[in-house]
Amino acid sequence: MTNRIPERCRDFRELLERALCEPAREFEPLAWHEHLNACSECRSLLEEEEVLEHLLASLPEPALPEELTDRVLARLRSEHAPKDLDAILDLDQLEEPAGLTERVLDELELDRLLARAPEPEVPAGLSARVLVGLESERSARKARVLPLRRLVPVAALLLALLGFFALRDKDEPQPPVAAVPTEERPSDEMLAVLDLLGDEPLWLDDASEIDIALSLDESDELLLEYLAKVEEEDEEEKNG
Amino acid sequence: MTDTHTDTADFGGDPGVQWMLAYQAGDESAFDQIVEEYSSMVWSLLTRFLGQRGVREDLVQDAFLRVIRARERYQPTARFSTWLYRIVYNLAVNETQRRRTHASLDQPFGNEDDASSLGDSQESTTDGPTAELERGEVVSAVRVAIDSLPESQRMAIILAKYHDTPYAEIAVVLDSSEKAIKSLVHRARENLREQLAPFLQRERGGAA
Repeated sequence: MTNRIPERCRDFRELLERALCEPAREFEPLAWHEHLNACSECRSLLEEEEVLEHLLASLPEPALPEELTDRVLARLRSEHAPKDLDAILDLDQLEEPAGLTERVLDELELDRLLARAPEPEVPAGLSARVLVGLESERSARKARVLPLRRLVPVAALLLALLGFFALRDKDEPQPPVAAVPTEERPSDEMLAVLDLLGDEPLWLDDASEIDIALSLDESDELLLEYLAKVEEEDEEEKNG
Repeated sequence: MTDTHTDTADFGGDPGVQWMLAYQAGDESAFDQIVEEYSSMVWSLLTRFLGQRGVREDLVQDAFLRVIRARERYQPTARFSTWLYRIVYNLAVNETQRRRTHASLDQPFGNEDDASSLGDSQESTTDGPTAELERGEVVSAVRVAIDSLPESQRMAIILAKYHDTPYAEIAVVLDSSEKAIKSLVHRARENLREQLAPFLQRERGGAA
């Protein structure tokens, strides 16, 4: 658009634009008048620009909310945490609670007084008298414990024997089943265990018997055979 | 960037720069002075750019919050007002874009009730009711015309016309060159003349 307008018009319009947007700058109005008298287009443009300036100037100044600055400052102070944090971290700014020093000194004095208190004197023979006083109670408790103590050696013996057999059976090579003589009797140790057990059955019902039989090894089978044989003999004696 | 950069020393006498440097050095009261001096300017610029009902105080607060955040890295490369205008411009553009995304919920920017906003005006008039209505109509039309300008043109014309900002400083605000700003203002005026053509004709006819 500007390419079509004459150079003199272009110069005038540039000056006009500057005058409109930078009113502080000084211009030479005489040069304008000469051009405006000769150019109706630029005269019309100047009129339009003047009216536009008038219209733009008709916009009122935005009304400022009351105490805007105070409110903005108040909000910024409440939201600007680092500033507050600085104040908190500044120990010189912290106020000492009233009477703090006095309370600390009082506590220290109390500690000193407590430390100075004498150690209580122990009456002579106190321990012996206490033990004598507790003797009857202790005796009663011993009596209740004795029956249980008698069982301890028996249980220990049983555990030792079971452990012995278990180790022996594990370590010794087991002979083939066919090679074991059917008449072979259990060892003397096994017989001692059986004596201790007395007449109590090793199993209580058929189901238990099956379970145990499934987990028996060969030495156990020999024991079972022997027990069956003893049982038969007992029955024969009873019948006979 | 621009042909408008000036030496830092040129801004030493600017009170805003002095306050900002004092604030940077740890003087908290200098920040209070900045807010007291410039909050009305920030409000006016935001109001002219976003419209009377578009400005909330939290935007003014945001502008100064950015001043706080820039405390450490601030360098006086321009007048303080120019630096602050740039912050406000960025805020205003962000706000415009935010509203655009919620355009279905918000009213168009130019459709404010300017008759009522005249009540907020500090301008007093002794004209009769008809003249006041006409004035209200003109004010409304001018606002709509300014609001319809592209953001950079709008900011350029507002700074030039209402904040007496030289092209060189507008160039700093819009991160452009003085020559580009001249062209921008020229296009803005052309758009305004086009938008306000009926009023221009009427005014010229009345004046003739």
